[in-house]
Amino acid sequence: MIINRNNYEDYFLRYIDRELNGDEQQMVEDFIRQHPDLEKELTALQQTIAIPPVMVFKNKDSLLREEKKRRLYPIYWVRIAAAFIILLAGAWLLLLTTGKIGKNDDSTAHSGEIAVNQTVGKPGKKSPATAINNASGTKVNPGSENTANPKTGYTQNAASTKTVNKESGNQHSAKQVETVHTTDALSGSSLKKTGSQALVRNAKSDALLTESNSPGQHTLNPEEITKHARMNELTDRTESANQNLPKTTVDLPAISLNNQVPETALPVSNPSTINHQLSTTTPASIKESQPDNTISILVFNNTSKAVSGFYKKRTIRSDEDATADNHQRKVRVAVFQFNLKK
Amino acid sequence: MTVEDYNDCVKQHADGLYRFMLKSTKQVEDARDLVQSAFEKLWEHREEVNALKSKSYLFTIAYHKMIDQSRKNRRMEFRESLPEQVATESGPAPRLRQVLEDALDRLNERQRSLVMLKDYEGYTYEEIGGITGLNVSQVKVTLHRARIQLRQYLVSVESLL
Repeated sequence: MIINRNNYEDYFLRYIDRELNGDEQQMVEDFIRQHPDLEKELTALQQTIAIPPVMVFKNKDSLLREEKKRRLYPIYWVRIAAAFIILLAGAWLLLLTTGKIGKNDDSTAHSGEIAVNQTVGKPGKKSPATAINNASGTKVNPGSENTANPKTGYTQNAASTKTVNKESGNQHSAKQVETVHTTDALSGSSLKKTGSQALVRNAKSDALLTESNSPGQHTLNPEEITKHARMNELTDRTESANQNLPKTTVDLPAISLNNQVPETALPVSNPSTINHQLSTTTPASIKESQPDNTISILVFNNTSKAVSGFYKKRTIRSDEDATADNHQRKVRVAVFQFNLKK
Repeated sequence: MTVEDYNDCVKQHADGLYRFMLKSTKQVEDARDLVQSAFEKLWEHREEVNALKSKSYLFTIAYHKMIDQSRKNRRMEFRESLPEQVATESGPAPRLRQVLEDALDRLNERQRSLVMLKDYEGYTYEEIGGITGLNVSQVKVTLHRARIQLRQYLVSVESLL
């Protein structure tokens, strides 16, 4: 579009408002040179341009914002974050400690408690004993995994079986002098296992009977032997009846060694026997010890979820008209293991 | 925009905004309140406002507040004398400036605002349209009419003198 006398006013207004591009400005200036009579109109329009007065807003400082306040926020959040991290770390450590304690408590509660119910002749006191001296007189180490391992018990039992068999082979007359060694080692010591449980049930035997002519021997007369044989037979029947009971494992909550649990009150679910040589022996008469000549041990292994057991029973059988010469001795030894379904 | 940008905006545009508001409202207190409210709003929305457009944002806020306020109060008085903030003068002679100020006061509210936005602040038609909510044609026509009116007033004053 070209400027002319009909549209110059629009061009002049846009010229003073600086809304024209370079070419249009040059075109307006050329038009003014060509038409000097219109220059006054352009000058009059230029005089309408308002001149900005200088004014100062006095409250300018009240509008300013301090940057210090904004800088405080990151510091504040950093402190909160640091405190939060410290709290988390503390809680984590606390949980770790608590977890360890709980784990230890749990292992204690479920670890190889061995409950030995042993009746040596006449019932004695309940003993919280937790250690058993094995055949070699070695003290069972608390927390030892070997102790918890049923295999260890089996090995010991095997050795013991030999001994008993040897005794069985020496079936002598009733007049034979027998010395009974019982132990008190089951009391006053501890037995712990890790990851397994061991239950000794109905350990009615006074452990190992050894026949010898050692000092402290006790001579039995035929009447005593007959009485002893009958008691053993009664024990044998009880054992066979107990074996017919449903095989259920009862976890004993803690280590207990019971020397006085009555024979009739002991359910033999999984009879097993531990044969242990007793380091501390006490001479006793066979009359007192023979009714309690059965030892059963249950071992529950938490890790393998298996129940293992050892059973040993020693009986003396005799006929109705038995005399001291014709009674027979039998030793029954059994080892078993059940794998529990998960 | 950062706090530093905001403070720079205060330092650079507070006076111009106050001048624009004072010339529009003719009330010092109203002009101060409008300036403070405009900067308050800018501070609240500083995260959303680009620092380069902070001036337009301020003038837009202040202009619309001023329009709302003038519609409510109807306190716009053309003949009220200018306050003391008119400190120094530059350019044309004081007499011509006074005549021009009188001519500017004779314009209606919209024309005066557009002339001030154009001559005081140097905004383009498009920018003025953005501030006032008018399109470019409306801005152009309004400004042209204001110029013609001012020219007629100036010519009449010169003829009288």
